[in-house]
Amino acid sequence: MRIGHHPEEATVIAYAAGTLDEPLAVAVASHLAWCGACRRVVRVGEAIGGALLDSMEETPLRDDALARAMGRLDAAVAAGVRTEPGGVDSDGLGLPYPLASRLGVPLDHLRWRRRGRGIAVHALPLSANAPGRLLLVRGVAGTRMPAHGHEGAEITVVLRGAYRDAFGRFAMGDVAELGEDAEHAPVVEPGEDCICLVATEGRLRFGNPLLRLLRPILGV
Amino acid sequence: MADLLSRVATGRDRDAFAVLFRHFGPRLKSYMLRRGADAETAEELVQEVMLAVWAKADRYVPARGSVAAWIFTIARNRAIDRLRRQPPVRFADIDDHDGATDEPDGEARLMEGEMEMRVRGALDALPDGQRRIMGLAFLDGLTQAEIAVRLALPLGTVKSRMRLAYRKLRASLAEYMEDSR
Repeated sequence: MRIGHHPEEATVIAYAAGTLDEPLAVAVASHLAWCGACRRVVRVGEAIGGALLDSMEETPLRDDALARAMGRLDAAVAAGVRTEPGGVDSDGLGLPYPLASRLGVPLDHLRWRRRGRGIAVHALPLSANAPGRLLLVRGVAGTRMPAHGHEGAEITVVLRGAYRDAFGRFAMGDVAELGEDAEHAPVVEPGEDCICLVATEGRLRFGNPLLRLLRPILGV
Repeated sequence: MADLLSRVATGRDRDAFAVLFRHFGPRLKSYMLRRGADAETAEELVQEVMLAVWAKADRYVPARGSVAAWIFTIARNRAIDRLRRQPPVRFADIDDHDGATDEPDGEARLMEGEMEMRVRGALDALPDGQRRIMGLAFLDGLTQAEIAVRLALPLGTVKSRMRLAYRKLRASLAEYMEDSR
């Protein structure tokens, strides 16, 4: 896979710091599963986190803290090491692990809700405390999406197919990271439907008041 | 540090674990407090992190980063889970993807301390504004938007300072890692 568009370095660093909210973290992690270059950014980020942790001031622990830990060591091993996810495509779904583990079924088996001509969406559940939204958006080959902007950050990961907008061509593994001010009008390339994972921080904002009528198209 | 962890992994060495606990425990408590834990919760999270260090010690690969960096990731994930009350989103261990390293563990363990010193040196050399932002992100767990509010800076400035800081730190690690993007 040739990846031409990455998340901003600052975004990957925020992921490494552990400060991205769940929807954005799922999108970034899905890209990471496919992108060695960005995994190296995470490794530098974690090295930074380690050095900062190591240079923190010490806060005294309770007197019995070490003894308590020592008494629990055998149980900790018996409880078993949490099993880490295996490969990129551990479930054979053709999807990055962070997404595959949430879906459990192939994209074609999902219930898609039509949102107008050529567009369907599937909302993914988030934990109660997570702000924002996480959507799968499917555009039929050749579909033109209405121009729209964003109220907060939005991160899109292309899972299948490709689309073009003013920022370039986006295909499998590519990330489009749009800030508050960005507007775009994606056009799905002919030939294959395009399926994207779209994580948003805020609600979409339509530039033209008439286009607000199109909100229901994306279900936002 | 890497030697101590290796003794825990291969020999289930309790003395080595105690040394690691005495070093990292009080720092981890500071970290959990800064991420918003009360004293009781911070104390319990230190236990959980250190028990995970004991149980997972054999998964640490010295060529891939310092012991402190590895422990940071465990602590970070606990903090997201317990203090942010969101699931930590893992992308499969980086280690699983990047494949086996041909670096012998012994040599890598020697480099581990060196790498750590390099990052610390580079952190100390950052301009105050950049270092402060890295601290607010990595230790306080603030989002970029929260940092912008805290420091009364535009969001774009927070992002560009994070990027600048990252690039300098990456340069300090260049000889220990393959080229980044």
